[in-house]
Amino acid sequence: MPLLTCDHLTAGYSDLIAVRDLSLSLEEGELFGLVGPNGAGKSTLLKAITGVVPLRSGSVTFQGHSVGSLPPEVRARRGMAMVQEGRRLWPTLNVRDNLMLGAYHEKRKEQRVREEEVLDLFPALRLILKRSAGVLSGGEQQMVAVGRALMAKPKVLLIDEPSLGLAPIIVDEIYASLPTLLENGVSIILVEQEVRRLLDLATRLAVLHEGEVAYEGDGKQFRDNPEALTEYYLGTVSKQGREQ
Amino acid sequence: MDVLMQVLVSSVLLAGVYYIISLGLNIIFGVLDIVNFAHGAMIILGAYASYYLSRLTGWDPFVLVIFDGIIVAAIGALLYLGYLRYTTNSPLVRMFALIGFSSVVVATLLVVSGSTFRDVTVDYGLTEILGVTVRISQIVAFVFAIVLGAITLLALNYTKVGKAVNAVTDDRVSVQLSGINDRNLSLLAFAVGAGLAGASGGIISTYIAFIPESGLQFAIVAFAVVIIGGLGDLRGGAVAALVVALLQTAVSVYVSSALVNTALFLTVLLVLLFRPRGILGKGRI
Repeated sequence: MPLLTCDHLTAGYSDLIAVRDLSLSLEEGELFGLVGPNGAGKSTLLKAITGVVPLRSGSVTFQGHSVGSLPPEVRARRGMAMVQEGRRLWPTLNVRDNLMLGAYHEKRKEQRVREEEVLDLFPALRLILKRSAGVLSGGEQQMVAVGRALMAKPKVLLIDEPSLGLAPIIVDEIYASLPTLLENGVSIILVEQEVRRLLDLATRLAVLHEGEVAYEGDGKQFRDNPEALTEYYLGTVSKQGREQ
Repeated sequence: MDVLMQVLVSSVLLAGVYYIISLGLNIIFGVLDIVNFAHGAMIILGAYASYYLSRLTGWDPFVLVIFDGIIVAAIGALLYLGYLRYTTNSPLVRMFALIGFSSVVVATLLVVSGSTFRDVTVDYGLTEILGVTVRISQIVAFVFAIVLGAITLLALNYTKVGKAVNAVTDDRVSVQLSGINDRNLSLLAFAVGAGLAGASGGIISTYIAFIPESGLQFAIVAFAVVIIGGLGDLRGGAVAALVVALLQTAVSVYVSSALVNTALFLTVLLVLLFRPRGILGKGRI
């Protein structure tokens, strides 16, 4: 049974439908990559899965239970965590408080244990624990954002454009942490513009175009030729791609 | 020199009370983005709660301040749960709801208590500070306000729930995604804000006589402090409380008490023009 299933999911904002009748599933231990041009519906899909954007129709099933009508905080407590685009930390709080609130419902002792695990994953954060999150560099913010999500010990982690606006060396560090998370039993859905990085890591991949799945598969054929994905970005092979 | 010292001492004592008057307004705005047009009504509810509780129990008015806070916090919680939480998509509806609530409070108090001036003044005697004679009750009011303000700030900055409330102010969606029920925090913030308004009404009642419509004057002070201090900036609010108290006292003593509100509005206007983020530049726009 898949860990997470989206079934004929449609979602959007007021008059705009950003995700149309979309179905996909995530297996346990998998890193599922989502790519596509701007406006393809990638971020909206993650928000619909986590409950930030309500569903127009369709369903989200997580660990065998329908969660589509649950508010975001309940889905989060059931094991979904999300790193939003732009990090979205709490700038007036320091790094430690940002991390601790990620495990809000846990006791102090457990929070400390989890904080230590996050700091082992991102040792650079040890030096800036008392620094206000609002003054951190983009890379530091991204580490805190991933760390905050991990504090909840999620079953699935949804990450939206982690490399956006960051220096390649920082992005390397973020990506280097992902295999460790997979080993620790966290399944991942990763939205990324940098397709090459994603192709190296993802077990499966979907290309979204205008809110629909234009391609879904293991993406092997693109590893030597990522440019071939352009056709799917442009939507010229949108429907056939699903059969490949 | 004596008059100047009197202005300074009176202003500092008044500033403490002004801070606590504005604190609730600031918290509610910061967390919920609600401009609480019922703030004056909540303050006056606290004052009347003190008046009636004092008649009923005969307890010291400063003890009753705690009960005023609890009563108005409960009324605020009911207002939020019963109505305001359904108005998140329409600030206009929310504004009229709060103005309507104010009108109901004032009308009810007029029916119950009439338009006679009430007070719960206490006489602890007089003392001297820096050569200026002041009422001890004023000092107690100042200390009470400062302690209440300090407890609120400590709770906001050093407890888990307080930090979560701050997090809601920063980014509500991230709070939800962290598994925290932001609606409960909103309710808590509104109740605390209302409770602080009620408690400040209780403190004010110890040295100013009031009628049901007096809430408006206190609300004007609270809004001036919040705007001058910067929307949502609790530290800026402390500085602004001193500025407003100094301004009011100085204008009243050196110019004319009729011009106090004019000077206040002019200052608010200047701050909005030249420092829209408030006196410390850390408020929201």
